[in-house]
Amino acid sequence: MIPSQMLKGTLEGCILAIISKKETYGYEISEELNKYGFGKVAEGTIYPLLLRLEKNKSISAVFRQSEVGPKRKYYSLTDVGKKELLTFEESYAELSNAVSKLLRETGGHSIEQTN
Amino acid sequence: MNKQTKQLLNENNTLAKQLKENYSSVLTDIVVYIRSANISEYQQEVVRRDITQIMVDGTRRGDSPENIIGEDYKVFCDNVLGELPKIKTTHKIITFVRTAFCCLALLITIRFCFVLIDLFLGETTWPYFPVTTGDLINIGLIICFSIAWVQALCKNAFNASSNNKLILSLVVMMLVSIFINLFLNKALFTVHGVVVIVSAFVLFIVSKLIDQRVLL
Repeated sequence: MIPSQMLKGTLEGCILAIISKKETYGYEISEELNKYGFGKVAEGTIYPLLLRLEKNKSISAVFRQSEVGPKRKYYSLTDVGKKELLTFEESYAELSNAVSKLLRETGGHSIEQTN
Repeated sequence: MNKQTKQLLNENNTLAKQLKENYSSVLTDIVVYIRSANISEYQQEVVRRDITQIMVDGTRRGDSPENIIGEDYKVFCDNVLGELPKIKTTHKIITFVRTAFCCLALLITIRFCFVLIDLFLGETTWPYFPVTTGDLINIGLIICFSIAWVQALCKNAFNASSNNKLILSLVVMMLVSIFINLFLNKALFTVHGVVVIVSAFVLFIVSKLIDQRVLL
């Protein structure tokens, strides 16, 4: 389970990445995150982030009739969102490299213990 | 409330009927809390629609509200509200004026009814209405208290322990109002009955016009 504080900074970018695959809705995003190993991320966590992304024009929303039940809000990536996603990918790669390098050089105790 | 907002409100009411009991009570608390937020009525309904749809989907899947929204509903609401555009001070003032006019129309109508009761009891100054110092103070006090009280009620939607304090404040306000009317009962001036009822009608119409034409 990834701690929520650690998740906070990256979730927005991860949501953009999921939306970049195909037009999708809140619950499907939550399921996708779970599938990728993020654990159960409630729609209540995702919805405010979707609002922020919509406000920043990174995503756009349309209402479509769902197969069961009422209309659903489907989100897709805009050009602004595509640029945003690229920036996130670069920033995350930088962070990931830095953390990996640090842990390698400090011995990566917990990894060694696990092994 | 303009046409677009009213239409959305009606759609949301219909949508909410699809919710199960456990979801309905959670949604009610969330909507009440959102009503106190510094966002437009239209934005309130947009958010309400999104949250209701999330919940209707959850109901169909058999998920619990906690699974969908998270453990802390207030934190969820604060996160949502944090992402929405705030209304300007002028908008807030206009909203206050609209509510005050509507309350004033209602208070005048109630006062009119009391004078009608007096008319049947034979103790009347009909067609003239005496206006006392107590009446004027009470009108201002009741309008300000009502607006503040509803705001406090909404803000504490997730805080059940505040209910007793809210009820107590209501009782205190009623007692204060009664005492003001009892002790400050000297008539300052009189108003003709026709003027009273026309004033109430005009205030009500103006509040409706502000609602439909100004507040978007």
